Amino acid sequence: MLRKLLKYEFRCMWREFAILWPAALAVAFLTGCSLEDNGQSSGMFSVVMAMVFTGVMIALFVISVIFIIKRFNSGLLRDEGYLMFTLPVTTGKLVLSKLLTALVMIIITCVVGIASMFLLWWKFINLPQDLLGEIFRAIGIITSEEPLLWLSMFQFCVMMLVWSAASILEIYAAISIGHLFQRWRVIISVIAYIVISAIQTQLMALIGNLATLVGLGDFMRYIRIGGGEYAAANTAFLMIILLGLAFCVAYYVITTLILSKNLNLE
Amino acid sequence: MNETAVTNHTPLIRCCGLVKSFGAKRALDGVELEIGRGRIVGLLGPNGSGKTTLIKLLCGLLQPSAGFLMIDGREPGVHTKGITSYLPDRMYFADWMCSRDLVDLFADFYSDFDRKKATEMCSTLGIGPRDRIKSMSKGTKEKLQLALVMSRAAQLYLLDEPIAGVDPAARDFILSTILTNYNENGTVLISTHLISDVERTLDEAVFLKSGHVVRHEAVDELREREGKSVDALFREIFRAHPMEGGEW
Amino acid sequence: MDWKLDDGRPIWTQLAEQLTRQIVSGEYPPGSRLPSVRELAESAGVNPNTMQRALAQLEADGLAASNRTSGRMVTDDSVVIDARRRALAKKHISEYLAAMSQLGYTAEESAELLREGEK
Repeated sequence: MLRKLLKYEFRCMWREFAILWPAALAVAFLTGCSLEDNGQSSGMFSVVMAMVFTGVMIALFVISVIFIIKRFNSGLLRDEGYLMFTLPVTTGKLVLSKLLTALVMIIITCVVGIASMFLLWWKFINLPQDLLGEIFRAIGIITSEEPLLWLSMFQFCVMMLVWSAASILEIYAAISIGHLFQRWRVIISVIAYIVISAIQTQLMALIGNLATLVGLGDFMRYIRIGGGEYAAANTAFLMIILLGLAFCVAYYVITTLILSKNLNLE
Repeated sequence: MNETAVTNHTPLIRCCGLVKSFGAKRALDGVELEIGRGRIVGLLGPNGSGKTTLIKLLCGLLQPSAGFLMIDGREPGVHTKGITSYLPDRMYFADWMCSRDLVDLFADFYSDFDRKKATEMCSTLGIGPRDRIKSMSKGTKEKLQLALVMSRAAQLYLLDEPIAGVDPAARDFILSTILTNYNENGTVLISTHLISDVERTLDEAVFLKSGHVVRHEAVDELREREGKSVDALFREIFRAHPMEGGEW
Repeated sequence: MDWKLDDGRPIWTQLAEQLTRQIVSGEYPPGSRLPSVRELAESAGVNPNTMQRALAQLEADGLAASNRTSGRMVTDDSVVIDARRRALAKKHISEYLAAMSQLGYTAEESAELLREGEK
């Protein structure tokens, strides 16, 4: 059932971003073309293009955030909710389908953003003939000295993903808390978001202090496996990932609990 | 446990001491109700009597404040949603969808959905598969929604005010669509305050008055005993009492 | 077929009466097949259960019979149909006479007037 839900979420995402993503790439490429070879701007055209490029990047970011909020708020708590909540699926799967779509959207938007940067500066990057080969060779050299680099890179990606999920679920939880009230739902949601963020920051600081207190840093030094720094980094990454997962679970539970026990569409 | 035996002997709908309050206001105040299978039942009451609240509880859009309700012997959940076909009192389409997306969605999620029936009804209504829902008129949207809901062979149809605010021609279309397409082993619950329009289609009538079931009877028995139409009886039960406002 | 349903009486009895009328008048000839419950219900705009009950009444009256293979048939027993037709006619006559007697006419005078009216 989750797969079927995702099918419609992706269809919706595609209709929203099918123009925006290619547009961002095209604008980046044109802006790149308008720059002189020495990296200086050439007259009005490139100034305008640079402004357009900045505008498109900001738009990409804003639309992504709006998409996350809108797919949850109008997709579940407005009229469309009458359709979604009468489907024979659990509330958890509805929330998960929104979350996974948002994550995929973020990943693609990031890829588009990085590709845009590349297209903007393509004139000034001297690419070797065998680019991929070079990259792999470089990584090979590093990993032969530091075998845990792969693990660190993987962990970094997981960490980014988990914390993105936590941020999205935090928004969902805040909107759900606003939904508990009959009136002023938007304002209460915003306040709830600010309060949750503050609590999260406090908790993080507390956990950080605790970690120092119990000497987690020393502990990490003891469990070095291969080469010093990376082993410590790996343990740190793991801790941050677990912490992120804990926040994910907490926000997910708050959201699904409210939506299944206190749903009140009107 | 023999699953089918349970299914056939329990009433389709059972509400016990069902209460739903919104803040201090009680929309439903101790509803006791049992409805069997294969019936067309009118949920009758003036605006604000709790009809929509009861239907939303049945389809799982609201949770009871007290008491309980069972559909097919179970509390509202994935199972009951799979056998319930719900027509809300509003449009529930997503803006981004075209009619084809909706038909796909129903076909994907409801195993009792008859895709052929739905596409036939759509083409009768002049709705093309690529038509954007955003660009449809209100009347067309309502008919599309009804066509989808009635293309399912559901155990329970919950139709919330299907004929409110439509012209007589559309009303006839809606009623005949319901009568010709519903699953005969299933039960249809129609909420309305326009009783004379639906009276002849009903088996049973449930009268809801400020959150209570005040009467639940077979329509024919009611007419025979009272010697008047359900509509006339309705007017009698819900006549506004001039003294109710209290002293001025 | 135009179905007329009035208030205050069960719908199924009214449907049974109108179907009976159609059979005795020969609209549904003896031995012919009746439309299905669904078709009849749809044309009357009523619930199939209600129409089912009306048809069950016809069967109880001996005017129709269900057949497993060919559906529901009008009886081919013309004696039953004629008897029913006469019974309905008698009812109309007694209603006529009752209305006439309220106007002060005797039965003979009423019959005389009826013959005159027909000319």
